[in-house]
Amino acid sequence: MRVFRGIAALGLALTLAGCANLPSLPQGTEEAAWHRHEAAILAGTQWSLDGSFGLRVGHRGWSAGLRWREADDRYHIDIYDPLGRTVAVLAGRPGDVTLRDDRGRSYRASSAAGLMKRALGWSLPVSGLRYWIRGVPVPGMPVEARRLDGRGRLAQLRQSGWDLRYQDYDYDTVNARPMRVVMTHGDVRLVVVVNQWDDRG
Amino acid sequence: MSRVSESWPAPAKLNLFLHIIGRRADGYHLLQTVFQFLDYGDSLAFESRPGGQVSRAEGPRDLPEADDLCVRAARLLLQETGLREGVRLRLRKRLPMGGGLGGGSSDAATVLVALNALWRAGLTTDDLAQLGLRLGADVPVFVHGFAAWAEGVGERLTPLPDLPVPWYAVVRPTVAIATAELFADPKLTRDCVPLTIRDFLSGAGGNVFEPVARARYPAVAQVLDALSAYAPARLTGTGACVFAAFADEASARDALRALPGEWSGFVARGCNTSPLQDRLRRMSVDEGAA
Repeated sequence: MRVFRGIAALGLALTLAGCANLPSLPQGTEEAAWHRHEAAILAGTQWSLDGSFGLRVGHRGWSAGLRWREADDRYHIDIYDPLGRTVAVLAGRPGDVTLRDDRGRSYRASSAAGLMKRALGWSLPVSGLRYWIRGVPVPGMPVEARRLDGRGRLAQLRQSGWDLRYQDYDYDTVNARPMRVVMTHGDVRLVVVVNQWDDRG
Repeated sequence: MSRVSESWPAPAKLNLFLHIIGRRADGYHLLQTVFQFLDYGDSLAFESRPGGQVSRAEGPRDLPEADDLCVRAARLLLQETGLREGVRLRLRKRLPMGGGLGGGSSDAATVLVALNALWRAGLTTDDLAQLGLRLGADVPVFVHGFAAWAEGVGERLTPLPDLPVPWYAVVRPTVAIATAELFADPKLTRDCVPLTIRDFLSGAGGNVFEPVARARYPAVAQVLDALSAYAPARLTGTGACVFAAFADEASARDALRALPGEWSGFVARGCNTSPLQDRLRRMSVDEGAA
């Protein structure tokens, strides 16, 4: 592939991040930049994203579009197929979630992941994703491992048994938002690709 | 996914002041302004496609593809270089249309700069800026990517590498401004005494569009007044966005949070080098290292 041969080189350099001669921030400065970045993200109480995900569990796989909106701890998640037809809508707040499936049936429970498993046969780690997809760990939960990317953002995170790799961001600074995240947990692999971020305040 | 590039930033700009000092024979206004970039804005990713075609990924937009400045920028680059590459543009919008933040021009500049690099088309920054000028008067400043004093119709640039880089709170009044109307307003001041860079650096200059935007759009006046309670607020470009500078990030966020909820906004750092140029340099360094 001639067109984007630069990209292959770039991908390689990113995989090796930390050992290449990247114009990285000095270590102390980077920790400080990371904490500012994390605080800024957590301060935002209204945000939304449009994107898609691919989920693989063992040999089974699903992929769908994802529209996720949050305002003051309430979330509204639309999952739709390639033709734009709704597969499921999740709405609620932590501890009280309702799922409506494509046949209009409603389910209610305290955990989104449990609901999805019951109604759809597969699930997304919603309570973690609410933070991970914005590039920060879930607050108040142990961080098993964390690696920064040289610019004050997460390159890798392990939390709650999930391993997250951040493969693309839109900006290099405090306003950076992840554009592609690969998450694995045992034989589960989840890739989220963001097309659009919208964050206010 | 391997055919899709990483994201490239298309940052916002602010006009730290904006004066009109006269008019050219062809009707264009002669401006004086200072552009500074923000570390916040749109971004673009590029998907390689066979066959010399330029297209864009579907988005929630009502703009015909042929009028899309990004598509036009990519086609212009192909035409200029004779390359036969194909590309699909994936634009991720964060900046409001008609906000005075330069979103459309910045998107087009990022297409030119990124594709020139990805395709190794070999055009210089000056070449790209010349191409950019054919797309819009504000495109060259985004291509060059340095904070600048600008004159003419906005295309004659003098770098200002040492401007202060405060944190800005940027607030968007819920109103769409008709730029042409503002330019046509009989009350618009078109004969400002020309300033020097030194005048600006010692605090001279305002935005001539502010009084006319205030008078025509009460929402703009409200945001200017509300934000001014925290720090001096000013209009960027012809609006509608309003900004104020703060010494640190926390103060900027506090001010934004204290404003009424119906206005959207964001906090960003001023940059004297555009995040696009930083990204370009990072690509060169990465390739050198790989």
